[in-house]
Amino acid sequence: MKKLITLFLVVAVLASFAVVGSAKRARAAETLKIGTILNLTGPIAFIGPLFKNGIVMALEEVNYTVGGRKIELIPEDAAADMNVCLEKSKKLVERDKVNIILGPLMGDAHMAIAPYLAGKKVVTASFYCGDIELAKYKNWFIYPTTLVGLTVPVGYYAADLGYKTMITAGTDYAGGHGFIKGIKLAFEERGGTVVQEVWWPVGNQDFGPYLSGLKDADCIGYFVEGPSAAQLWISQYHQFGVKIPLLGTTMAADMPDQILSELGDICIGLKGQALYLVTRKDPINEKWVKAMTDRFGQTPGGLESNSYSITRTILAALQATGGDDSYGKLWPALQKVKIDTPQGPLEVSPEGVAITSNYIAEVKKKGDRYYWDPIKTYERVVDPRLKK
Amino acid sequence: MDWFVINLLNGLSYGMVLFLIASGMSIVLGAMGITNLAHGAIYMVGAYVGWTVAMHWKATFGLGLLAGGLAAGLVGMAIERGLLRRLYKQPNEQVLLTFGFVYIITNLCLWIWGGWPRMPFTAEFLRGSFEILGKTYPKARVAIILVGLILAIGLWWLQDKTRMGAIVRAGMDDKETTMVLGINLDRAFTVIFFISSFIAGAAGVLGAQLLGPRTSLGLEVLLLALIVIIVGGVGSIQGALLGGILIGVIDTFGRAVFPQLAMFTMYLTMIVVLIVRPTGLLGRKV
Repeated sequence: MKKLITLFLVVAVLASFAVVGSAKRARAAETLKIGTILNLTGPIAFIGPLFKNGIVMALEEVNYTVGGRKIELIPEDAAADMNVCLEKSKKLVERDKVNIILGPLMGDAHMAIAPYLAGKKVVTASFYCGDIELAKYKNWFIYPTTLVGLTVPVGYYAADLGYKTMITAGTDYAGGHGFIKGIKLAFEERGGTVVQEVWWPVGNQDFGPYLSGLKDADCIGYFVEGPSAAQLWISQYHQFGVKIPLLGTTMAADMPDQILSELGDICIGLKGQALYLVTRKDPINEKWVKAMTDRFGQTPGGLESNSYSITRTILAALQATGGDDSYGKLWPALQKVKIDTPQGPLEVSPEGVAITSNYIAEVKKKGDRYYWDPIKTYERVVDPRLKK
Repeated sequence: MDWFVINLLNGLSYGMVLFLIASGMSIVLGAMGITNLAHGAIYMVGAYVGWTVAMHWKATFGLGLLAGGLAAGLVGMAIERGLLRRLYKQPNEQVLLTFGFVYIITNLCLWIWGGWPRMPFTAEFLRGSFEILGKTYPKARVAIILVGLILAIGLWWLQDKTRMGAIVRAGMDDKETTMVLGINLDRAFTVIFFISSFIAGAAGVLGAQLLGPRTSLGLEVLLLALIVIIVGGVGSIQGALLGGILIGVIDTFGRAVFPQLAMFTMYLTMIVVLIVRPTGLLGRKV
């Protein structure tokens, strides 16, 4: 009987090794699925393909392989609708069995899908900032920082220019309030005073009522949602002949080269915070810009840079886990990632918030081309509330 | 005082764009009983074609206006002759069909002109601003008010003083009797649809002075047009003009005085009008 039990234990141990080994082989052979939620139709349909290009470039660089596993990218279209976004998230998790989702973009969509994806322990990356509330779920990689953290340099820069008073103007939704709060906190921290706060609704197209009611101030710190509204804001600001200098936010993303060339000469001299700058002198950036231009036939901008850096970060974490995309392995690995990206050095805070450089840039013209030129760098920008 | 005048001008210019958007749709709804939800998309076609002619091909703004109107008119006529005329008195089918065209036209525009929003554009001599009560004000906005008023007078004349207008009004009041009198209403309706779409296209070009061409216009403009028609009343130029100006002015002052309520002021106006006068301020019974 003893022999029989010993034989059983030996066989059981060997069998368990075999199971573990075959499981590892199976995982190595099993395709690693990464979902991405883009806006490929709807009012901001032009943004989706640009985010996708950045992801594709990062995956092509590793030949769609990490830790010995082939990667399959599953893109979904949320059409800028948070309800659709939630449905697509469920589809990715339940039907496609993904453990990683890149995107979505919009703050309302973040909030709509966050509880569900936290429950499923899916590591999720925001394409462009996120509310600090997302950090509590402990499955969000918030890139490049929180809403408030992103615009802090605008307030500092206004104070550096010697401005004492500011009007803040922004789009009245959660993201807009976060961005404006960052400007205001930083400006007031340096002794400035906000004399007027102007809010317009999401989708606003006629800025006339707001432009004609501005008080006197040294500058206007503003945020407008998306390229379409940003273009209308700048063109109407000029139509109304307002003389108060503008200091904008999210400039390279909301006012990429295509929008600058549409605006023409009126955009020359415009200043603001820009996360990614295609013209920044840096070997990694220059190499990436060339590769993107060769691959997709157009100069990349902030949107491609964001999705590229996010994908590179996730790939670095997956490399560290040997291709294991389970939450238990991937989330701790993600917090330890330190890489160089076209946007600058990147590391991740314990809360899952990226820590990156941030820039102030100015629009200049060379030949027929308008571009954002970096004029000041703010390194390792962190949401002031995370420092405490 | 200057604040009031500036915002009144803002409201009037916005209101004129709203009037131009809604007038054609209102007439088609009143005269033909057709709910054309593709009207906003047709407006967008006008804006894009006008931009192509005036900005891309660097022709004049006037030519852009004409081209935008014509292109939109032809698109509208094609929809009417090809499909809508088979769906008279079938409101559900009309709504489904024309709403489908919103997506078809939007995607065609996306395909042809790309997704990037185009810059607001105007005639060379209307660029820049001028002084009014010590404040600078864009010339283009004043031009919109003046052109809108001229078009309103022209459309009123067409509606109330011409044979075509008489046919339209007769068709609205009693379609069968009008046909018995030997009037070819089918042909008249095609002409009305063309004119309605032409106005939408021209409005797209005029409106592009404020709001440049973009692929989201089809739905955005449709919502505004419906509000103006509900407030002004179906089937009359005067109603569309009153509705457009009222909504434009109330919305503008609402944004300036109560920015927190900016999303609701035009809807509040609509609700009040619906309670007080369900047929709209100057509406005809269809």
